[in-house]
Amino acid sequence: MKSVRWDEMKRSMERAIKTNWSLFKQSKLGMVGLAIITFFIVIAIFAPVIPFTYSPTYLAPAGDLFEIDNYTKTIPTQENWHSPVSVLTPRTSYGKNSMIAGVLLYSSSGKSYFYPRDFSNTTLLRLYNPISRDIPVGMKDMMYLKENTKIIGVTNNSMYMYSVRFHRNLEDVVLDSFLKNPTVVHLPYHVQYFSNVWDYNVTVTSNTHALVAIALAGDHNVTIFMWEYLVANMGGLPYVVAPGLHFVYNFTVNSTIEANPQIRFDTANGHTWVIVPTKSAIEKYNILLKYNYTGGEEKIRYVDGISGKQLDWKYSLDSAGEQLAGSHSVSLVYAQAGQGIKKSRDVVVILCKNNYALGIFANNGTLAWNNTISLNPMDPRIHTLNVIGLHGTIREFTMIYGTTNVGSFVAKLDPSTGMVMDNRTSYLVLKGDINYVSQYDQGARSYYVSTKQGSIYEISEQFRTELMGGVRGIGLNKSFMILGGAATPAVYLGTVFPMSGQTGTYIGVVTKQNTLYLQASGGSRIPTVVIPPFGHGRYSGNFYLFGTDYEGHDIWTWLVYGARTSLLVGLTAAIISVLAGTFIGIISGFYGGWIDIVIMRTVDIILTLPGIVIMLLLAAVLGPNIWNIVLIISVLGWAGIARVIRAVTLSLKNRPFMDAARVAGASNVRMITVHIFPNVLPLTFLYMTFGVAGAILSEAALAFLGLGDPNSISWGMMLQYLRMYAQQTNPNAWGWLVMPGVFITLISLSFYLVGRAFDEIVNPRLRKR
Amino acid sequence: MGPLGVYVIKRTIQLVITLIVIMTIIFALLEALPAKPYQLLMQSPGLTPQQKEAMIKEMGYDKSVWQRYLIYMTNMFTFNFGRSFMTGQSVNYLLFGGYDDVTHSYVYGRLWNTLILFGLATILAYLIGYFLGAIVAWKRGSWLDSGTIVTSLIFYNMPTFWLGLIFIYIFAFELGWFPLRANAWMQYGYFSIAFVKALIMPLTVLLLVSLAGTTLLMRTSMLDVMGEEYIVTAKAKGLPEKRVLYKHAARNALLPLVTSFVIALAFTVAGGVITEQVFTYPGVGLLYITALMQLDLPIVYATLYIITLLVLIGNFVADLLYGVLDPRVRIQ
Repeated sequence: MKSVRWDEMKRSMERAIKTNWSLFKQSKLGMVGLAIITFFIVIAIFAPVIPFTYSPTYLAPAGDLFEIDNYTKTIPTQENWHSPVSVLTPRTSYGKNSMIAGVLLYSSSGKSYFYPRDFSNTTLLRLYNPISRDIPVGMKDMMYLKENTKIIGVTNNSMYMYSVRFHRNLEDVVLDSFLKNPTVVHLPYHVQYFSNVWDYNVTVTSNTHALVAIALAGDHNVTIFMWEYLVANMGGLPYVVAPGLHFVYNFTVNSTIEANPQIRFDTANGHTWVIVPTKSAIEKYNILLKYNYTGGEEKIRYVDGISGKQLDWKYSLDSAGEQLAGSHSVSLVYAQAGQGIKKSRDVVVILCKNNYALGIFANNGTLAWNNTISLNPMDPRIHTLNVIGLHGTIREFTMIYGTTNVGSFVAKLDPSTGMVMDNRTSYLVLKGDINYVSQYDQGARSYYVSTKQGSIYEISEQFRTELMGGVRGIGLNKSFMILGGAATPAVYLGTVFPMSGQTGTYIGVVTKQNTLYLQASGGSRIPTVVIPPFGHGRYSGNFYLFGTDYEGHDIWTWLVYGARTSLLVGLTAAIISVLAGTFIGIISGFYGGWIDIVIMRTVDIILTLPGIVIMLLLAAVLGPNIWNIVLIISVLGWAGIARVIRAVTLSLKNRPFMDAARVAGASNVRMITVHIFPNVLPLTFLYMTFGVAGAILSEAALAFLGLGDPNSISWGMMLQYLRMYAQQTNPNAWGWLVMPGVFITLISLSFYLVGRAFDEIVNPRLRKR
Repeated sequence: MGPLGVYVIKRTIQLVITLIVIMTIIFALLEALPAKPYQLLMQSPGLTPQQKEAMIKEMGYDKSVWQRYLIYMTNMFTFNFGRSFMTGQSVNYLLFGGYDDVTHSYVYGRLWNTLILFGLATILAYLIGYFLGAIVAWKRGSWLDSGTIVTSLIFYNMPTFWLGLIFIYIFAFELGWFPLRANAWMQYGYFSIAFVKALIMPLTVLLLVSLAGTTLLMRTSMLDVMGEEYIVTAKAKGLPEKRVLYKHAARNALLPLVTSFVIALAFTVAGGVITEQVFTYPGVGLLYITALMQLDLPIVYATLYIITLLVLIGNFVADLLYGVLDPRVRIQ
């Protein structure tokens, strides 16, 4: 009995499909739609084996960035190059060895490589074979990363041109430009803080004497060293009397020192002052350096001590002393007065905990301002802010940087007020955590910021506003990914003066594949790097059909995998909403009465809801997740279908065959499932095809408005990333902008076309059109 | 009181009930948000506990949910939208325009901004769609007809924001004809070239997308009418073709277009979110989405209320119009 009925059903199904198919075939547009759907289903299923696709997590390797591999050097892989790459720069004005420049690498195991710069070709950057050295004086086992060893970095110093300097145990060690001839000075205690991390040229006497000093600090000790004794000769070029650190004075403070001390020369009354940030206060000491004249006429002057030290003032931050940050998050910078800059802006900036910043006038040591750094008025998306550090320059461009809830940020600080400059273009949100901010590059007049993802951003001084708002970032001259990620977070930028006098600034990076990349950046005329997004084409052996996005994801791959998301969301949402709508519509029409009233009033309300607005609200409440998006689309989508199905059910209910069934004693369930449901099924199917198109468009819109699932690969998300992160436009990289939209249109169109063709079958009245 | 009067009263009561239900749903949803607005603002490090307490009080979060619900409902129905949590600006001024005492400048009402752009787009889309739909239906089967259908279907299924991005890229970025962000005109006012320049791109995109729908609607409606006997009669009488097309066919095919137009006009404010976001056009939609992202609830509530109210009234007017325009419905 059962099998007979089954056979009958199968036969009638086959018959229905056959006749409907022959009707469907008459619609040309319907066939086109079906073909496009088939295409998308095929690429969604066979995504991993489609030609030219990569893995969805694939990132273009760093090698793709460089057009000429002259700039890449393979470095020995057995070394662990965790230390900074440095591009060493000469000082032409000081005469000797002025043309020696190159790239220095050093590793935690004590190996070092120095690649001298080849100046024979002034337009291309070439490096000679490396000079390899072990770091001498038995430092191997103690280098850099070990306890009590602090790398101070590479100095550009008038004496040494460049040198590697580090503190190890109780020693200060300086290696010269060829990593030889260590100068070792014994330190009185374990040094934790330095008066200036980057540059030792802190003048502590008047300009004619050009004496420089540094302050080192431990937990409670501050020690003043003279860095070197210089005299100005008749030609204006200083020469060195005695290199190295020379102890001058040591004093203790009561509270624990928390950050780098700052040493400055008070031009007004000839004193030198030292600012010491401690746990509970910021203390300013005034000292008078004692000169020891030897040789009278030759004006060689030694400093051999201090005639007096007094606590000038003490600025207690608050009673608990909590506003002062721990040692890692306090950063001291100074913003010296440059040409044309008002003296009032010559401020030492001290950054404390809770984004609290103090400014101290650099010429007299009094407090310039104290306030909290906040970005919220600039960007309402920013709710949490953690300022990590700041950098100052001799120009007025002081930059703070840190993390927020939307990404890391860099912002321009106004040295006269200590606030982020009061317009929306003085800050930038970058993707990924910042792990390195370069020294100010005077050639390019910008900072370079690298993030943990491997992006390097060049941030121009002007934070330029005239660049593109929607598609291009503000203030970024350029940014690029070290595709595949940089192994060393460090980037060093230096200015290199080739023979012809043109200036080049170079970024050196060691990638995860242990390759050294050297790339010319701002200020250079050397075209070296292709900045993602890439356009269509082949890059060092990798083929990108539609180019890549800014991170190096292959667009074609994402398009293929995006088809999965679109089909998944579209089909699931359509099936859920259509089935729910059909079921509710039948119930409403069949039973009538108060059930009908309740359901129809609900339908009325849902249909009057402003769709996308409520969708956004629901997405904000539920959270960005692909299944939540399906749920939202379904919740708002069933009502219209229910209304139509109810009307159809009402008309079916009064047909003779329903009366016959009722007389024959059929139950309500049987009448619904056997008699009504098969009759509304074509309509249900019709709405499903339209529903898929609508759901796909809704998903794309939600993703574009920032409420998509960040873990999914979808076409809407691709366009959202484009809007948020495309920092520069590359006319060749049209794929990223054009293709996701084309695919969304095509898939939505195809379902719509199939729906239209199907509509003509269900409603024969339409066919004649 | 005639039957129409009874109908209007019945529908008005229904409208108010629906409004209350929707506003309640919105309140419940916003209460269910994972974060409270004061939690965001209180992360500012300089605040003392007293200030924090005052902030909570100011936002009304010291009261119970029911008290807040009642206050919210009263405020909405009296059009007293309060002040923005984030900027302190009066929401009424933001929406309807006025002299803002926070920024000390005249604020152009976001509602009017939106109505200008979307109203213009809707009117144009329906006007052009009316004629285009009538013509292509008249010339059914020609290349013009199939070409229009295919083009319309493509635009109908195109994501608005993507079309907007393409426009921005080509006309604002590459060619530089129009501003990248359509909000700089605010300092010049409505009667300025800057405003016209800011309007053109969003208007064109909206027009392209909505024209697809109106053209297809008019075409379908025309085809229905063209099958009627009076058209055959008119043709048989030997009336000129243009006269039959515009006087007899198109005018009778207008009915579904008019009702859909009223509803579309009501939905314009709601539909603005995406377009305004892409073009940074300072309308209600942009106001809504930025406020939602930063949990600026007074603005979220006010915009949602205005949008819902307009949609409901639009539906109401559409129903009435339908009755007025179509005698067959009037009898019922």
